[in-house]
Amino acid sequence: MIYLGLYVSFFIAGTFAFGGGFAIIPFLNDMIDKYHWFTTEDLTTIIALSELTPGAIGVNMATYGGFLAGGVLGALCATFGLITPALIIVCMLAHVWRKIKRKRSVISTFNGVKASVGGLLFGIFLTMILPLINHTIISVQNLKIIIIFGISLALARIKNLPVFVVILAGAILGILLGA
Amino acid sequence: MKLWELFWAFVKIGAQAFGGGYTIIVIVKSALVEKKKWLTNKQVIDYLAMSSSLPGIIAINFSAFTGYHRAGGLGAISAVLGVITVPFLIILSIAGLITQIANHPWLTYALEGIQLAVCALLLSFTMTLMKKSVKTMGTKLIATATFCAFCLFHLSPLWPMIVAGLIGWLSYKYRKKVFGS
Repeated sequence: MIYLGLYVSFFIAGTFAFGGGFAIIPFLNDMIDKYHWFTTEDLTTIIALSELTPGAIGVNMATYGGFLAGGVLGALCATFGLITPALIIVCMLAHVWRKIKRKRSVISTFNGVKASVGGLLFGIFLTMILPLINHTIISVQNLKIIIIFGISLALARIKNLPVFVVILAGAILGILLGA
Repeated sequence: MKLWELFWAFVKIGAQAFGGGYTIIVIVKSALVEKKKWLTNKQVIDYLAMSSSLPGIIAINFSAFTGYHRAGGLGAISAVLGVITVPFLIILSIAGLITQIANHPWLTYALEGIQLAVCALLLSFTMTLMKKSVKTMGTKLIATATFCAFCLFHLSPLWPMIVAGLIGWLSYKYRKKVFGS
């Protein structure tokens, strides 16, 4: 039952997404390995499309990922799965979270989790970029990669620059250098 | 009536929130603080701090807090459903289109560039997260160990995260100050 699977998987992703929308990427990556709902190339499209459309990136990734896995109903299940834990957590903690979040035990626990998210995301970054690199290290293809990646990274580091600018720049550079 | 009003206000917020997360706050400030006066500036900052310290999508947590503040549990549901409505419909309508144009040669080149741009965004996000959360010896060890575990075994992200949380909690309990405050 793919719809129940989508709901449960995105429910778990929503519960453990520490540090914003990109934090659900490790979970999407896990779904590729486990269920083959979409491919590693799809993951790029999922991230890019989620950045280009309005709305929270994490939710958009769930919607598009769910759609690729199981059509419109899949999109609904994945999206609802992702937002359910937030609703439960907020309704339960709305009154007390203000106090709890300052407790050192909570801070220390969350710091541990966030550190592991950092390690996971760096691993996923490598699995995404390594297949793009040509085996002949010194090649035109790799020079293009360095140029596009370098410019994109420089743009990405600019504070307050809308993220879709980075993606558009990547697309334009891809066309200019590719054609 | 109140719920419908809440839902509709967040439908409009969701439609304008490009880039999610923190951009939503700017829109909320003009729509809910200045126009509707449902929240004060101080409450926005307070809810934002609470939303980003909780797990989950920040914009969703924030909408849930605001909805809860206005009308309790049902208010939270109305606000969250509202904020996801427009993005949901937009993605579904684009999703069908993408498969149709995916074979155009220009788009193939564009997609190669986009792949690299997405990698750059992911690395940039990771760098920011590391700078904020990975400062002490203990957290550096956790990040490295998780990275190695990820590369060696394709395990679910859940296990390293749970173990890391547990280590963070234990390190507090036994007062080794490796995790900082």
